[in-house]
Formats: sequence, structure tokens, C-alpha cells
Amino acid sequence: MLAVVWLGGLTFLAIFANWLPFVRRYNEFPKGPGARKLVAYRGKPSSDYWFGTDKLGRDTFARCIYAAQKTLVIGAASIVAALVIGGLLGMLAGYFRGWYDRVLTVMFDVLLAFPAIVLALIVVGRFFASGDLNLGLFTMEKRFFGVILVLTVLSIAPLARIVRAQTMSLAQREYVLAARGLGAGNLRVLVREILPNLLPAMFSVAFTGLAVLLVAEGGLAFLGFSVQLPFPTWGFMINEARPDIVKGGGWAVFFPCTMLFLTVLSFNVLGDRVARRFDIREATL
Amino acid sequence: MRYLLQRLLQLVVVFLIVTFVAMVAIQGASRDPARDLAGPLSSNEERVEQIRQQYHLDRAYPIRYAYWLKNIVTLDLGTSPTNNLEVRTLIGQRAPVTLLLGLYAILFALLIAVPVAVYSAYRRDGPFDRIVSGATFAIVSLPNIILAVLLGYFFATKWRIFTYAASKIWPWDNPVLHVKNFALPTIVLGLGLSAIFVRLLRADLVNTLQSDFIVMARAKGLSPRRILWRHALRSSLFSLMTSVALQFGGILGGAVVVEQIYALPGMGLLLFQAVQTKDLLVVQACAALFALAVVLVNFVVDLLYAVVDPRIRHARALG
Amino acid sequence: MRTRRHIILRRLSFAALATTLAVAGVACSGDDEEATPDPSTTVTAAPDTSAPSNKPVVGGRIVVAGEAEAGTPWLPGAVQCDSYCQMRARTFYEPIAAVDEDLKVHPYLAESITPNADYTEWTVKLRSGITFSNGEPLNADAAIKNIQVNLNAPLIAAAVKDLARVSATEFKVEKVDDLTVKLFTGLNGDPTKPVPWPGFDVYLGGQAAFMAAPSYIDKALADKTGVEATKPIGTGPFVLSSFIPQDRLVVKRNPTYWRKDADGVQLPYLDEIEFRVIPDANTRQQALESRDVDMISTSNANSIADLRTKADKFPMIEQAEYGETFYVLLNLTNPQLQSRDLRCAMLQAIDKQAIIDLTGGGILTPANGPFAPGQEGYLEDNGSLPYDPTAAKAGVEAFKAANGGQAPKIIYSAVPDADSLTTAQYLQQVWGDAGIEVELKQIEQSTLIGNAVFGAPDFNAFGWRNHAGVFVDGQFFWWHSSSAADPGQFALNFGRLKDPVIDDLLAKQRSELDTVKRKGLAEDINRQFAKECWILPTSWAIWGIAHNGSIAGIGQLTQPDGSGKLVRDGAGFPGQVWLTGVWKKS
Repeated sequence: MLAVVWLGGLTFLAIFANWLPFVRRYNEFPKGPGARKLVAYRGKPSSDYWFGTDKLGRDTFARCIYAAQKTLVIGAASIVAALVIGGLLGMLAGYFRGWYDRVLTVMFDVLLAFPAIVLALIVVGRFFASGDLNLGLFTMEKRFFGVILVLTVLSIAPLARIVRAQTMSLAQREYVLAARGLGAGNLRVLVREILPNLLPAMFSVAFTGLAVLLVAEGGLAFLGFSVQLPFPTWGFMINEARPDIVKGGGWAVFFPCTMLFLTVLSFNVLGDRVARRFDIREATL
Repeated sequence: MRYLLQRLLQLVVVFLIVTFVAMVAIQGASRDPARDLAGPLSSNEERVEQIRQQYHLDRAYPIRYAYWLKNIVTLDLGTSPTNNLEVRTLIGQRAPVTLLLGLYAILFALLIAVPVAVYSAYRRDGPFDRIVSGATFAIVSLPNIILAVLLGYFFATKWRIFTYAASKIWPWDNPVLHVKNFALPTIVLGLGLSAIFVRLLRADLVNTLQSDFIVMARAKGLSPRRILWRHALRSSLFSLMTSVALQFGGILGGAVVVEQIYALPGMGLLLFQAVQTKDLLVVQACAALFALAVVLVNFVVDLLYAVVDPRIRHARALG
Repeated sequence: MRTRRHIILRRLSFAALATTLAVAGVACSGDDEEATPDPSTTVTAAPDTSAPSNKPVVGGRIVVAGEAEAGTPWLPGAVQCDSYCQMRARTFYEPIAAVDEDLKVHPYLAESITPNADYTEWTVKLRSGITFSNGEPLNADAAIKNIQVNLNAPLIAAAVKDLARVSATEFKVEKVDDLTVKLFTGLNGDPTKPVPWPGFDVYLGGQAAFMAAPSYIDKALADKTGVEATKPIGTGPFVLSSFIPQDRLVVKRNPTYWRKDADGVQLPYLDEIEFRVIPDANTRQQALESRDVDMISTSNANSIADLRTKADKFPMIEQAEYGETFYVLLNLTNPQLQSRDLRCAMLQAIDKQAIIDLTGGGILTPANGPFAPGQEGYLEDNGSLPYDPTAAKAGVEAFKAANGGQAPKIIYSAVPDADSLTTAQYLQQVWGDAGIEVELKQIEQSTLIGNAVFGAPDFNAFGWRNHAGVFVDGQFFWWHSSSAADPGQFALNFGRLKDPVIDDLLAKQRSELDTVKRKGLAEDINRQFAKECWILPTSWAIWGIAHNGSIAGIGQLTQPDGSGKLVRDGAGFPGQVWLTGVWKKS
């Protein structure tokens, strides 16, 4: 319940941040010699700045809220894409077995064995380094897309393996065998019999996976492969303030970390709920 | 046996694909690989051409790759121009560090995870279980970088128990210093891992404890402790093993961050530096080694399955 | 001596290594290097460093950490040598000359360095009896071999372009006797056109004039893998014991070293030094505080500010003069940036103190040009435009009016370390307020350097650090139009600055015999930079050498001729000390 409230509230704030009177702009900071003296950089939380300020004198609260937009979209988009792709491939491998399985297993292993930093370097560092990407209906920043792409690719293999295993065991169940016996085609069996039974497990995995991705995004930020500035993500904010932790700048790290923690926790609690509801064995992270 | 051979073949194919894709991607992403190898400040066109010839950078990718494979087999990986050192020497200095670090991290994680998970599962939904559950989330969502800086500040700078700027010191040279140098990177890398293992193992144990053979064992009057340690844990070990294999790639990725912060001269730091200086041959060699490590670990796990319990093999195939 | 040219991007805190390396490469190698003395050295705390009453202790081992590994080590001409590289190299190599606190060049391995009346010929007489650590003698033949190889290295050759050559690969060097060689100047290498070059001797104090053993040079040149180059042999107080790039370098006492201290004690005092490379500034500082290392060198202003508060435990020597300038480098081939209105508007939009507060620990000094205090050409007031957001807006409006109402659009590139990104975000805001559309581009170091060197189209502006050194001559090839090749070609004049006024002043000062007049010419260059807003200076770097109190003798060693102390240790690169005369308190 609390988890839902947290996630709901956060989403609400993130979406409406631009219109809410109590949220400053994420990149608003004092300028000029006079302003510099007035506002303490790396400020402590106060009634005016609830979460304090970062080293540019920007409101950490506002930045956390705005960062939530990007962070949540990155996490959600990556996990959905990975679920669709990984789920489909996993189902194919688990259902048809044989050569499908062998080829796809090799592919999953390739994805697992490919070093993440090299992937990030190539995708975010080179091909989606800057500028906007025109997707027809809307445009998005290339780096933003690149980060989603990297996280998607990284999560396809683990998800596909889980789906594959689930599909295998589902395919042995009586009702599936029965449906086949009645002459149902492969497609029909997959869509009507197996997929619905996979969904709860996939949801559960998605919630846990989402949490992992949010943290992984921070890792990309550390390596310099994060989203386009100045619009931050939590991972970027944490990384930006890292050098100041032991020098009195801890607040700018503490709050995004806490946001990250609460969000990860909420997603996991939801994932657990789903899992328990449908009696799913907890999947390997 | 046939299964293992087949698996081995699969993994060889995996290695070939990874290294080929990595080569095409790394070199393809560069405007001119020969120039990158000569160094960004090299104005010496002769040198650039010489490098182009030496590494066959003017040839098609499959041919380049064939040369590269040949060189891998003969362990001649070329020279890192920034470091004036043969790549194999460079890797030879770095790889053992990361290998050791990865091993320590896994051991550390298991050492924490197994007892904690067992007790959590034993007293399911009790206060301990709940605290552990919360703690694992906190650890999972605490970025490595922050943990590294905080632990470093307290354990090294303030209390001077461990070393902040870690060095490569072998256990046989000086065991005490070795521990001091490897402790912080191990803890940072291992803590996150242990949280993942705890969650996995606990869930698995809870599941096993409800399964038929345990119920039967209980009916036979075996003590709960004995059931837990001897029976339930044993059957959960397999999923734990799988998880270790799956996490291995992630551990190597984490090493990039941890080695950077603690200045530990391992593969992760090498790869990071090579990426920064566009030392393409080193990046390629590191990618190959990472892939090899992941592939080998997977194979070893498969092997263990086959050796420990041939029947489980099938289950493993199931996931 | 002059200069080191270390270019390094803004504060490398953790991006580091790479950064430094690459950049430094240019830097140093390019140059002529240094020899600047340095009065600039100030001791923050550390009574010990300045207490000569302590008798030096012989023996012991120290661990030193710096921010970057040298690129392509260790052949003197080829190595990309930043200050930490210099500090390490000076334990096993020694230069022909060293600069003193009087800003004069003193012979080091040489017994005398004598120009002719019009400064077109330079005669170097070596000290007799010096041998390399492998037993080979240091004589005229060895010196000539070093000169031909080291000064011909691509980047260094650019710095000494007015040294006479007999062929494309060979300088005109004359062997006078077994210990004496003579060098000649010549405009662009032409031996028939001698140029007076009164400041040439400073180049004999730098990297290019490190003397390496001839047999080592032969081996290093013959080995295409470069491995032999990593086993340097010189005349220095220490000999290389082991070297693992990016990690550590260990040197041991050279038992046959030629120098003794004033009391006749054989130098060096230390038995062994271990040098580590720790790119992350924060980690390096923590390593010092946790006593994992005895001494660090840092240019991270946050670290320096923090260490100032701990001076009782960690005495620090600060080097604030002749240092690098932090500035925004502009690509002057970009049509928009050819507008002085726009360049000056960008400058006036920047509150330099704000950037210093954000990334410089609040301790740096706002810069008015590429000449730091102490440098020839430094002016307290060079006419640089002040911070003035209103004027900035007006400048952008003027630009628009001249360009058909088109608003300026600039790409600012930043490397992914925290300070760089902070600066980038600050600049995006303030330039945005002035009416300039700014796109931030996050790229790695090597790409950034490559973009600058080859003048890539998406290189418009980025944070840079360069131009340390005392004499303006050391900056010659960074600013002269002769090194501003077209975009797409290799050029060390990264901004492609082609200003006839600056070209003329640079040429004049090179041959100016009167040092007062030369200073005046340097000051004119400074004024011209300020007038045209060719670069957007923000602050001047400070370097700190901090140690844990167990180290003594820093800056105490004298020149071999007994004259002054080797302050800043003859190097001119801030960020280093000369370790020959350092000892560890027992």
C-alpha cells in the first residue's frame, strides 16, 4: 500500500513538476556576485530548500523530482522493451526447443558475455552521443535513447532465460498438451495457453528488474555514459555530488539515494505481491 | 557427456561471436583505428600507416578477425602504444588482480548470504527476516560508488584499518598487507552481491521447505535444523550456483567502478583507461578476456551440475 | 625552461588518466620545457621542509602518488611528459641545465652553456667524469645522439623549429671536443638564416634535454613494440628498478651517482622511491590521509583547499606561479566564433568567481588572460573585459544584427568528470541567459583532444588548461599561425588562432635581446588576447605537493655549481619537486 502511494505520488510529482508551484525549476541557480553570497552552495535542507542545494546552488528537491521523470522512464522503457524482446525470444526457445533453442541460447550467452562498458561506449559514447533522434511521432535526445538501448540489451538475456525456463515447464502441463491434442496450432497454443500463464511471472520479474536497472543507470553515469545534460537522472545526481560526500556535501547525495532506495523498495514490494499472488518462485535477479 | 560437449561447442561459438562483434563495434566506432592506435597526438603519418599494415586495419573485418584470432592463439596481442608495452604483458599484470577480486567478492557474498538466508527462511516472516529483507533492498539500491567512498572514508582514512589506494600485493608475499589492500574492494563488490544471493537463496529455501520431500523428512522426525542444512540447502545450492554464473559478468562490470575508486590496478581499471585513451587493442583484448571468463564460469557450472547430479542437468536446462 | 605545456583539461579529477596522458602529451612534449624556477613556491605549513638544521638522514623508502601516467614512456623525446612524469623522470634522467629561483638558466649536467655575441650559436660543455648508470660515459657523442633523437621527436621539433638543421632528420650540431658540442639557430631550420635566440637555453632544462644512455637509445629505437623504451638508463640519482605502466614505478639508489651534498655526503639520501599513479583526486588525497602514501602531487583545487585545513598533519607546498591557465578554448574557424562581439559576449557572461567557487574549491584566482602571475607577459590589468551580463546580452544582440537576426548556437564539449560537467552546466545557463543557444556534448578525453587537434566541426568550445611556464617564447607554437593547420589536419594551435598582431609580436620577442623589451612584447601579446577575446580565461591553476610530515629536504638541494637552491626544482612545471635531495626523517 505504502509502496503504491510512494510510486503514485512520485509519478504525479514527476509528471506535473512543471506546473506545481512548490517545485522550482531543476536547473535554476543563483547567478551574479550578489546572489552568490546570498545562497550557500551545497546548502543544508531548510524550509526554503527542503532537500538542500547542490554545488551549483540548485534545489535538490526539484532536481530529484525532475530526475524522477527521466529515471523512471528509462527504467520502465528498458524493462518493457526487454520484456517484449526477451519474452518473445525466451518463449520461442522454450516452446520449440531444438535448433531455435540452441541458436537463441547462444545469443543469450553472447549478450551475457559482452562487457557492459564496451556496449555503453559504443552505443552512448559513439552512435547516440548527442543531438536529437527523430522518431516520427516525437523526438527524443539521442543519449536518452542510447541509455535505454544499453539497459534494454543488458536485460534481455536474463529475462529471456527466465521466460524460457517457465515456458518449458508450462509446455509440459496437461492443459497445453491437451490443447495441442485437440489440434490447436503452435501460435494459438503460445498466445492462448502459454502467454497468459507467463504474464504473472513476467510482471514479477519486471518489478525486480526495474529496480536493478535504476541502479545500473547510476553505473553508466559513473562511467560518463549518462543522459544529456543538464536534465539529470538520480544516478547522475549521485555521481555528480560524489566527490563532496566526505566534505560536507552529503545532502546532495543522500536525497537521490533515498529516492532511489524507496523506489527500488516499492517496486520490489509490488513484485513480491504479484509473485505471492500467483505463487511464483522468485526469479533469479 | 554429449550434453557437455554440445555445451562446450556452444560456448566456443559464443566466444567467437562476442569477440567478433566487439571487434567490429570497437573498430567500426572509431573514425580511424590506426590513428587512434598511434595516439591522438601523433602527427607522424608514417607511423599511422605502419600501424595500419601491422594490424591489417585496411582489410575487411573477417580477415582482420582471422588475423586477430591467429594472434590470440599465439598470444601475440600487439602493443599498447600509450603504455609502450605488449598487450599480453599488460593483461598478464592486471588479470590476476581482478580474478582474485571477483573470487573474493563471491566468497564474501556467499559467506554472508548463506547463514543469513538460512536463518531468514527458517524464521520466515519473523522480525529478522523482515529486517534482512529491508536491508537487502537498501544494499541493492545503494550505488557502489557511494558505498566505496563511505567505507573508504571510515575504514581507511579515519580508522586506518584497510588501505584506501589499494595495491597489487600477493598473499604469499605479505598476507596481512594483502588482506588490507583487497578488503575494501572486496566488501564493496561483495556486499551488493550478497544482497542478491540472500534474496535468491531465501526464496529458494522457503520454496524447498514447502516441498514434498522436506515435508516427508519432517514427518520422519528429523530436526528442523538438520533438514535445513542438510537437505534444503543442498538442493538450493544449484540455483545459487547458476546465479553466481549469471552474476559473473556483472561482477566484472562492477570491478570497473570499484577498481577505479580504489586505484586497484586490475582489468576493470585497465579497460576504463583503454576506453579513455582509445587503446583499441587493449579494449578488444579486455573484452575477449571478459567474455572468456564468463563463458568459462558458465561451463564450469555446467560441469559441476553434470558431475554432482546428472539428473539435475535437465532441471538446469529448464532454467 | 620554460614551459611546460601541459594541457590538461579542466580538472581531471577522476576522469583522469587518460586525460592527462593524452593531453599532457602534447603538452609536454611539445615543449621546450621548462625550467622555470620558481619563486612561486610557498610553504603552507611544514616547518620541516624549511628547516635545514636537520641533518639529512641517509636511507629509507617513500611512496609518492601523482595523477597520471606518462604516455609512451620513457624515451626522453617521445614521452608525453606532464609534471608527475617530470618528477619521476628526474630521478633517473637529468637535464643539461636547470633554472634557478633567479629565473636564470644554470648548467646542470653541463659545466657551461655559452652563447655567441648575437645568440645564434650555443656552446655546451659537459662536466667531465659523469657516467650513465650502465657505465657509459656522458660525453659529446652521447649528447649529440640525444640531441638528434630527442629534439627531433615530432612535437618537440615544433617547439625548436628555429634550430638549424642539415637535413630533415638531423640538426646542425658540431662536436668541438670530447665534452663540448655546439648548436646553431636557423629560421625554420635553415642553417643559412641564423636567428638570434637569446632564450634558447631554457630548452636545455626540459624534457628534450634529458640525457639518456646511447645504448638505451639504440635499443629503444630499434624496438617497434616500445618495450625497450620502458627501461630507461640515465645519469640520475636513482636507477629504475621496476615499472608497471598506470600502476607503479620503483627506483633504487644509483650507487655510482656523481653528486655529493654540501657536506660531502653521497647523494641521493633515499634508498628507494615508489611512485604510484592514482588518477582520482579524491582517492589520492584519501591515500595520503590514510598514510598509504607519503607524498602526493595534486592540482585539484578542492583537494588543496581541504588539505590547507589539515596543514598540521599534512604539510603542503603550494605552487601558484607560472602555472596553467584554465580557459574556454574556442575554435576560431567556426564562422560564428570569428565574431569578436560573440566571443566577448561569451566572456562577459561568465562570473569567473562562480566557476572558482563551484569547481576550484573557492581558492583559485580569476584569470584575465593566458599569462599567470610570474609569467613574462603577466599584467594585473590587461584590459580584459569584466563580468557584465548586460553587456553580454548587448554583444549577442550585436552579433544577431550582423548576422541577419540569427541567434548564435554553440556546442560546448565536456569530459565526464564531475567538475567538468558542473562547469558545462554553469556555462550553458549563463550563456543561455545572454541569448546564446548552447548544446552540451559529453565526450571522452581522447575524443576531445582529437577534436581539438584536428579541428573537428563539432568542436566549438570546451574547457582547457594550458600555458604554464615563465617565458612567452614557450607559447610560440600554441599561438603562432604557422602551427594553425586547416581543420582536418594536425595542428598544435588548437583554436586555429591566426592573428597577425600576435604572430608579429611572437617573432619579435624570440630574437629580442633586451629582456625588458621582451617583457614588453609579451605584455602586448597579453593585451591583444584580452582585446580580441581569443580565449575565455577563467582561473589560474594551483598545484600542491602535500606529504605526511615524514619527508624533509624538499627544495633544499643546491645547483651543482653551488649557486642557488633548485627551487621548484629546476623544472618549471608546477606540481613536482626534485627528489635528489629529499630524505625521510627517521
